[in-house]
Amino acid sequence: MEKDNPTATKEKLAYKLAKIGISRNHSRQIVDCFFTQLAQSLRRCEVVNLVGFGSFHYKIRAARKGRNPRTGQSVQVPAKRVIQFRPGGRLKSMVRKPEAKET
Amino acid sequence: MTKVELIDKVAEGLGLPKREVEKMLEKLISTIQNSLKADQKVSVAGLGTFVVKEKKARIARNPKTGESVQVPAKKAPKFRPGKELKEIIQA
Repeated sequence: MEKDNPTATKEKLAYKLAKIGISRNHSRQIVDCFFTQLAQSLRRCEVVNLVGFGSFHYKIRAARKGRNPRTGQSVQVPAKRVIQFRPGGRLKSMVRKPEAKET
Repeated sequence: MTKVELIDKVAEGLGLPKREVEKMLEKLISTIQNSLKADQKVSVAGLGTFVVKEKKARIARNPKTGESVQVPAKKAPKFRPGKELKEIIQA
C-alpha cells in the first residue's frame, strides 16, 4: 500500500494550500505555524480538538520494568507522557473503506 | 485547544485576518484527509506522521449480550508522534 504512494509532507501540504491564491513561501509559513501551535498546545498539556479531523490527548504511561532484548538485563522504564490521537468522525468515515483489490 | 483557538493563535502570530486563517486551516485539514483517503501517509516534520492502517475482519462480542458479531475489515487513521513531539511533552 505504501510502495507507489508518495508520502505527503509539509512541503506538499503547503503547495496545495497555495492554490487558494497565496504565495508558496507564505503558505509554507502558515502551515508551519499551524503545526507549531499544535505542538505547543500539546506541550502545555492541553487537549487539542479539531472537529472533523480528530483530537489529540495525552496519557501518562506508568513506569514499568523492561528488558534489554540483547542482554536480557532488566531495566526500569520511567513513567512518561504519550500522545494519543483519536480520529474524528469525518476522517474516520473518509478513510474507512477497505481496499477493493485485496489479495 | 479548539479550532477557533488555533486560528486565533496563528492569526495573531502571523498578523493575518482570522477569516483567512480559518479558510487555510479548513483547507489544510481537508488536504490531509484527502491524502489519507488516497492511502497516502502524511508526514509532518517535528510533529509526527498520519497513516492509514488496515484492520482485519474479526469476530467480536457484544459485551452486553455476549453475542458474537462479525466486524468487517476496515481502515482506520492513525497518528504516530515523532521524536520531537514525544520529547517536547515530557514535562
